[in-house]
Amino acid sequence: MKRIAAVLAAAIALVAGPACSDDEVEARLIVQAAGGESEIKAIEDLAAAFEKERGGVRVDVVGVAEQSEHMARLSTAFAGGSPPDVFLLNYRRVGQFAAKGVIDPPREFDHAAYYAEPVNAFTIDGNLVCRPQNASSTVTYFNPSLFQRAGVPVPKAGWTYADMRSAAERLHAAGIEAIGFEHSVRTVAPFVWASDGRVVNNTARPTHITLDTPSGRGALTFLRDLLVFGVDVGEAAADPPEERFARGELAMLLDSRRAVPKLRRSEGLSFDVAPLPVDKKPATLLASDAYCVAKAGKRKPLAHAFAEYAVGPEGGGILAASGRTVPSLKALADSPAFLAPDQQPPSSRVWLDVLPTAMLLPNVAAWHETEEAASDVIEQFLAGRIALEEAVRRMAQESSLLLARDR
Amino acid sequence: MSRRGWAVVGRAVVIVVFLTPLVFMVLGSLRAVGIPPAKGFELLPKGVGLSAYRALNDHIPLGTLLRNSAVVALIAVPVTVLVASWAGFAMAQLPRRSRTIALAVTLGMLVIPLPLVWVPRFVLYNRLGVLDSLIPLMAPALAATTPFTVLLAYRAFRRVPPELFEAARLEGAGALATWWRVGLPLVRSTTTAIAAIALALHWGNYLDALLYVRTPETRTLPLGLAQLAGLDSNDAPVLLAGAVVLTLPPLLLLALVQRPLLGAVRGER
Repeated sequence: MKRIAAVLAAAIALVAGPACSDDEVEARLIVQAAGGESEIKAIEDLAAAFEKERGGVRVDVVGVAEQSEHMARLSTAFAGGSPPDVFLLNYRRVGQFAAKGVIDPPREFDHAAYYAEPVNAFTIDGNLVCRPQNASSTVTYFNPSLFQRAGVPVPKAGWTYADMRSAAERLHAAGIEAIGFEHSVRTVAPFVWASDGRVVNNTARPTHITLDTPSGRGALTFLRDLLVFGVDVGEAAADPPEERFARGELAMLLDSRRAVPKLRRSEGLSFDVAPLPVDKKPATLLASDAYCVAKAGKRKPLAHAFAEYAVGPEGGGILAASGRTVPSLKALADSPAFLAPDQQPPSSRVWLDVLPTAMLLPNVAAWHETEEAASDVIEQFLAGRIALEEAVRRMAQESSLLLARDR
Repeated sequence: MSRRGWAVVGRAVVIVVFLTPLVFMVLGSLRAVGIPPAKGFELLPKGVGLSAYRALNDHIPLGTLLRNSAVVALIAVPVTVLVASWAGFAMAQLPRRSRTIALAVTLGMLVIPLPLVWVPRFVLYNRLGVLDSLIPLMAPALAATTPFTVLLAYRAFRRVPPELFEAARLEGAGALATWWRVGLPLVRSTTTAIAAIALALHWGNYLDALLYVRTPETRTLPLGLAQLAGLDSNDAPVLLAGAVVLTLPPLLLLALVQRPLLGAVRGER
């Protein structure tokens, strides 16, 4: 018995020590981000470049595959008083952290050098809380080969809802799956804005979702009718539209820049992008994330230095080269690092052209949960399980209860 | 059909239901990497081979992950068995009233939702300065990993005739000696079952690793596997290969301890 206890104690002592002690490292940063393998790899390359430039610094990148797990881990770490030094967050999720006062905002930031849209997304009560890395937005990915096969003109800037519906119909008639998209508020929002409507009554202080209007009903109906020619909602869960598009089986995909790394790796696939169709005006949804520094972090100056490097010309260039981001730094976005004429999609400039039309969803504390609840209802509607009137009524009701928590 | 025949059919159905996902997993892991995923079930995977297993180490530090998972299991499992066995033995020896209270407390702990302890544990580990080590992953073993193992041990010791413990006491054996020399040999099946449960829980513990592990050196296999979930669908065989590697040790152990495990389920000691 004593021998067993001694062996156990020795083993515990062996693993109890610090996982790594490196006398040459003056400081250690923990950076947490959610994303696929290629995205995390890009951030690890960025971290390695920062370590090389600074010297005497070690940056550990904690990559989490799922957003929900990223949020669970962040929430636990903040509640426990030991958050990561830097973490990457989408603007739609920043509200809950900003409301608790756990983010240390940047002291200095060159607003003029960055696009206003992503900066505004991370500005709360007039203060920039995090450094935006990404100025992506929703566009129409299309497969030129499939369009050519069906004899349909490819999407282009200024195309209308009627053009999109006509293209979908003709592609479907040629035996081609025409269109696929995520069944969520994020997809519906640009179509509501394009018809001069609103997703919520007040973006800064929303009280409820306002899809029970002609614009909201119109957008939902338009998307449901498009799906007749596209990816069935029931089948999308098992075989998502992005996978089908990557295999060259889907003609159009509505998504942000995040789809590019995977599509570039799909052998034999040729693809390009075009803006979303226009109704009364052009509109798209901003998809932006930013590097936030934790107020409770022990190495705040170094954390801020890392965040600044990550969105600067060198760090931002590493991420842009991966294809994942549309740099929020103007000079970088307008350079070959992003525009990459030798890489797909040939029309990367579309993201810069549509940026002035990019609009925001709310970033208040309760928005994340509200959006998830509304997206569930949208999916049920698009699948034909509930009628339009029930869908818009439920979204208004449920959002009103959820957003009341912020008041 | 005879009763025996129906029993065979029933068993066959259960086996098929539980084996099918494993078969899918293994066959999927043998598919070539880098080609679009199969639509539907493939009896003979396209490009069948071990390319996915060879590619595993390109995506995750397999050696480090396996080592860390093995260390956690090698320490946590015996500690769990020890603590559960002591707790169960002690509870079984208590007078009736105290025994009932102890049982109620143990059952009560079983229904506490796990998310409630995430933050207190994080605070505790942070204050102890052990967040960058494997200790948070092994610490639950100090509380027998789950109250269920304590209840299993308690049930087993209660089935031992009390006269045997009384006889040991009369011969001058203390509590520890009675447990070691009299009780433990008589509850071997249950002890094996507790070890198997502890192994399954610690080997596949993803949540604790997600919440409490912050450095690459201390990551375990479940966390590494979660990273593979972010791979493209063309690389899905690599994820399945990782799943096979994760599943294999507990499966092999189950084959070894099947008999005593079934004995514990049937109520044998």
